[in-house]
Amino acid sequence: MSANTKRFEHLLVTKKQQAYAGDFLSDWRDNELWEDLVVGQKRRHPEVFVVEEEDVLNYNRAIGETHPLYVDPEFARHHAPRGTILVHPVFTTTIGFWFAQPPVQGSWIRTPGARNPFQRIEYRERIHVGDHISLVQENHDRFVRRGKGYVTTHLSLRDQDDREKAACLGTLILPLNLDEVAAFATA
Amino acid sequence: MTTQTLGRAASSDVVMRPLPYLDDLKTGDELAPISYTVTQEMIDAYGAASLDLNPVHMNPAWSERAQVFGTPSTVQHGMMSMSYMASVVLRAFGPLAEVTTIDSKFTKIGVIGAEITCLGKVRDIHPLGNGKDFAIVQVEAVDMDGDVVGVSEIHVRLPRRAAQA
Repeated sequence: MSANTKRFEHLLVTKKQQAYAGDFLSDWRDNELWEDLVVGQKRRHPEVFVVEEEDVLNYNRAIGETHPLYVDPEFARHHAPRGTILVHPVFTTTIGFWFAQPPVQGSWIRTPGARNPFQRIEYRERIHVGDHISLVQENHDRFVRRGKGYVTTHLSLRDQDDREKAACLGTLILPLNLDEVAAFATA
Repeated sequence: MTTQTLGRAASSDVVMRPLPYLDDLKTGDELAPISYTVTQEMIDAYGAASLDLNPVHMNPAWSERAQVFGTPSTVQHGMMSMSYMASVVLRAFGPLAEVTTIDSKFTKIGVIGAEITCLGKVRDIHPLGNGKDFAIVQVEAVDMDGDVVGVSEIHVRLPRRAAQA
């Protein structure tokens, strides 16, 4: 852990959190830059995100869910359709950030100075604990609006049978070039 | 036309209540709101859970220097706001309700101390048949100044009485 992450290090308790590259101020030079993004570039990430109960519990609790189907694994074992706690729909955020550790495509999502203007997520099927999620990512658009650089990516989250679980159109406003990123990162 | 407020009951006997029928919804029906005050503790928990550890959320000292949004405060995650807006639907209709789309815009930052209320209202009802019936709920997150912090259009698939016969 670095000085940048020490303050919240006690919150990183799951296996994924503890293994995650969590210091966004130390590896910013490895992130993709807005000016270098190639629209249409598409790749399947080689890693697989295994949806663990602890990941889902952590997310559900963080957004204040109290329903036992979200936060009580024992209750869910008896009452949930699959016998596992339910996954909140916006848990796709965790999956997206896990896949974006630099220097992979999509690492711009971690850029210091980035801003989030709008997001769209379409769900084909529920994500469940135990699913093995893979990611196909395509740079969907890159544009300037009112002098600000926007990038939109299309994320296809696919399960162990390669069925699409969710499709996300994620947009961020990014610093336009390395100098602008550096100004934020070294502030 | 009369409207109803959905999702107020919270006692243990409704923990496993069935999904509402699409037939029972009316446009304009209000969903029970969710209110929260943005704290650094909440932001930290969300950042850890979502792996969005961007310093604009997680590093108060850096945020004071960088002022990404022109303010010295850290700000809540847009995706945290989106989660709460989705939860308005899930708490009103029950966690087994099938959300099929969430389309969100984030229109104002949520700084530490912001008091935010997420208000949901049934906007459209789509009785398509073939198990594809759905409603669209419009959720607005409004702060203590009355400013809209975020807005979401949430599609939720619900059963119809006729389909149950």
